Amino acid sequence: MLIVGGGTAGWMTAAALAHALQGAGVRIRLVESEEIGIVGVGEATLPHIRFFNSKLGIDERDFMRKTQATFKLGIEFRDWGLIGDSYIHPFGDYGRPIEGIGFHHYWNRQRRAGDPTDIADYSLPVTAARLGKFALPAEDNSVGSSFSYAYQFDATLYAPYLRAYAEARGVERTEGKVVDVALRGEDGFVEAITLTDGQRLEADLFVDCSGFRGVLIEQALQTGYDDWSRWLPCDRAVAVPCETREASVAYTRSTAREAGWQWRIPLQHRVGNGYVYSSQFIGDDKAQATLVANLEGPALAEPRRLRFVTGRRRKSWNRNCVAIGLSSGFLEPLESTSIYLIQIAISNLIDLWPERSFDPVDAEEFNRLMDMELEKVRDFLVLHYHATERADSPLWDYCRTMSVPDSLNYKMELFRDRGVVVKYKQGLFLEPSWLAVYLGQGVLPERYDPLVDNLPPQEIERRLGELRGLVRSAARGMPTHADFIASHCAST
Amino acid sequence: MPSPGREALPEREVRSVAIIGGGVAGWSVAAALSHRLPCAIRVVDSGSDPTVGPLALSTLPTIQEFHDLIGLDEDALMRASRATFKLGAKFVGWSPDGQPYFEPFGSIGAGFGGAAFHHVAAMLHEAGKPASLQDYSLAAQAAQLDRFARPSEDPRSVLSTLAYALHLDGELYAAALRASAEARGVHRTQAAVDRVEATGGALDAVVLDDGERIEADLFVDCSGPDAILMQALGVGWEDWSRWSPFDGLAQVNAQVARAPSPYSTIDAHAAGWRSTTPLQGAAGLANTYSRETLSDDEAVAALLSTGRGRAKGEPSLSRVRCGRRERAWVGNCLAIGASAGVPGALDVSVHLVDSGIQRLLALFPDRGAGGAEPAEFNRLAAAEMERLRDFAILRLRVNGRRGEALWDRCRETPGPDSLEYRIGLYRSRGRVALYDEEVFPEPSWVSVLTGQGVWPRRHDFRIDALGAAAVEEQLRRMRTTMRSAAEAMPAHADFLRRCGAAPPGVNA
Repeated sequence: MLIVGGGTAGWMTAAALAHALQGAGVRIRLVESEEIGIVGVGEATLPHIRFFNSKLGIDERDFMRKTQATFKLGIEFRDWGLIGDSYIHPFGDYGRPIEGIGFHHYWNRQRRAGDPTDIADYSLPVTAARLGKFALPAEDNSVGSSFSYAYQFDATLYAPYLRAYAEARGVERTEGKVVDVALRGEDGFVEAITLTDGQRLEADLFVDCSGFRGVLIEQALQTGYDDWSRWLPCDRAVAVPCETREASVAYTRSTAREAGWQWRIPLQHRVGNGYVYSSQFIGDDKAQATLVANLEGPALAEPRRLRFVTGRRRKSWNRNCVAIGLSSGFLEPLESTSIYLIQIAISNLIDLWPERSFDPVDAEEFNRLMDMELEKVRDFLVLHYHATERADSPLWDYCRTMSVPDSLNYKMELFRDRGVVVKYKQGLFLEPSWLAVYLGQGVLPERYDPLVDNLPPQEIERRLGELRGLVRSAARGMPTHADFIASHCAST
Repeated sequence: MPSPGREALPEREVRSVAIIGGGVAGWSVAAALSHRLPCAIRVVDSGSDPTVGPLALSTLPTIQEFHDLIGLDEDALMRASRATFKLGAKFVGWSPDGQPYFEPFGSIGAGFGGAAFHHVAAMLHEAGKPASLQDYSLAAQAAQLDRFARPSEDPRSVLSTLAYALHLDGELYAAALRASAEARGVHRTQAAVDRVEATGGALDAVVLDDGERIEADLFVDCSGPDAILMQALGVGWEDWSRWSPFDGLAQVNAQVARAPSPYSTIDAHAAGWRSTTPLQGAAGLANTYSRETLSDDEAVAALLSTGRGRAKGEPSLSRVRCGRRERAWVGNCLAIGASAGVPGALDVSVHLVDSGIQRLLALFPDRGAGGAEPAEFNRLAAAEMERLRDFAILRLRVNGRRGEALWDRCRETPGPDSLEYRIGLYRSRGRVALYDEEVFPEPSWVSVLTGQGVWPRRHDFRIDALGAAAVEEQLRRMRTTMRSAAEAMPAHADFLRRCGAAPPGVNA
């Protein structure tokens, strides 16, 4: 098999497949060009990445040291519902179910009765994050075990880290840029690629990790793209790292701006920043100026500009070519889903590993699974934009009033009406995530589960008070994020 | 976030619930609601059980969660309802090689190098060294030896791979549920329904044969396949008979002297199948058949001649019609149980009642009508029905009986698209596609497919990397572990006695 493109997508694929295909006699080769810049500029992730790393036998501390990584308990969203708002979307539940009923119904009841407590006070990861703390989750059933975590790291260091892993397991790296793709006459399958130096490389299976261009999946196979810009109008980003000035915290920040949003991803050695924006509503120069004016410290490099079209490839797997990473579609990094989607694609590819004759059911099932993942993430991202009361700029006016996918509309109606979060067994996002964004952005349910009233009000108050206390003391008992990093995985 | 004002707490509008239909469905709903809600609950029970299905009931492991919900002690239930434990079901005469197969609860084997267990079996099958999945299922091993024990919570114990359900005497089970409900204030009215009054998509009242007019904030239709409330509301029916031509059901209970086995038996014949559901000192016998192929009299005769125990009472005859109500919840009326649909001719009615109740509790309205709950309820209910339908039709679509017109037709009739997709995927590479609201987990699908002779063309490549010798050694160890664990279990009859029950049969 041949992987076209390095970067995070290419090397994650190479490393994972080298591991999974051990002893299977499959030759894995990756073609990348030093010339082509890698997109990653400070990357935040989801807890799933820990499973990815541990499956490969990667040690957390070593990985964190080598990638300047910090911990991530969630994402702080500023100014999304209204300017001045701030909420954190955490990795972990709010409270815990009482008498088999979801906690947020109790919280909602209390709110309706005049209790001003923020639901975040029932979340250990949010409370800890706000206090600048971090500790690993406990393994018992205490409140200390009620959360998970991910990483914030330098993606330009993760790729080489995985490359070393992959090459040590037999993956061959070839330097070069693809100048031609040859398709087989009879069935349009990819037969070979040709590089600038004239090398012609054949393979049975091709994985396209060439980013937005989709050298194989689109340029050669013309698979087609579903544009989702009407729901997610951002189409540009400008990114720049800067010196750290703020205190060390275990969360990513997303601040809504006039024409998009700005990310802050704190790493051990510096801070990654970016402004994701819509060119319909702001020009590139003004966007860059906004970003640079909102850095906490001096910039450490020239800002880099990117263009993209939000959407997805009509088929991620077409014939004998599987698109992984940005070549399969683009959803802005608002909820740190890019690496997750790469990981899921790799896992599905291994589960649906094809044979030489390529039975179409493999691609069909793969595409079905990837489509489902992408749509679920899309709906969740659209919610962030749509659930706003901001009316201070054309972007927000547009998002506030746009019509959203039916699937999202349905979910929002159900929540607004009754506080019910639609649940799925497969794919992101789980109930706590939806709750975080709904409640954080002012989508409040009119009614709550009537079974909540089975408990007398004093008992509800008592239990909630108890939980608040447990969360507070657990958070206070944690070390600071800075101390934890220093003792666990400080980069030299 | 906006600051909360002192908003008035909402008025609870659903204060009364009327359940039309007794039996297992009606009394399950009554028991559950009375345990969770402060409403006035009333059951209109005509005295004859309208639930479709055998007099003896076969259930799924989901029943335990339901019993926890209503605080029903399982041991007490075993004593009161002549119940036996169910580790799975044995299917005789369904497979092309004439061999019976077992569909167990719980897991089969364990993952191998990241691939699901059945890929190992597929690999060995390809190599001409068949492995029997049953050897790697603790439930199947125990069932074969007529043993039983409850699963262990400890994930390191092989006993944690077990799951089980119950066989129940329908009447006695309904009585136990009724006792639980009445103890919590549910009111019972013995009467038949004369007519149902509905206007504009909601029920106004149910009028009984004694003239009493019953009004309620919420009505629950537990009237079985007749679905008298749903019919009054004009709710349409999506028919699935073309995939399941088995429309006749003859049942009788028989007295049995021997110790009961912890599994039911489904014995196929030219026009359908006979099933045996073991109870304490008795067995529920049923003949499910195509009325086009077999007359009612012939079906009854075949039922009575099985020679399993002495029939008690007259056999009952009923019709089975597979399909679903287009909507399970309309306005102020919900269908739970067979009134919502019958996904297949093999009985899953108790499961549907239990899952319908769980769904209702999760979406319990605080208004009689309006609100977003019905749409979500219907979406989930429809999805679950389709999953069950696909699994039920699977067995017919890949049946191994050749030369019998009825079974040939079942095998040649393409199933619903979702089922055809799943079968195609499995045949190609041994992967079972599972969806939201799936009821039967992967091992069940694999048991049916493998048991009825469907082998995937390819297996997961990760198995190959392990090396034949290593695999065989692992398998040998697993077989031994399963076997010893099964042999260490008490005899099923003895386990029942430990619960305080009194089944016949000698000590093991």
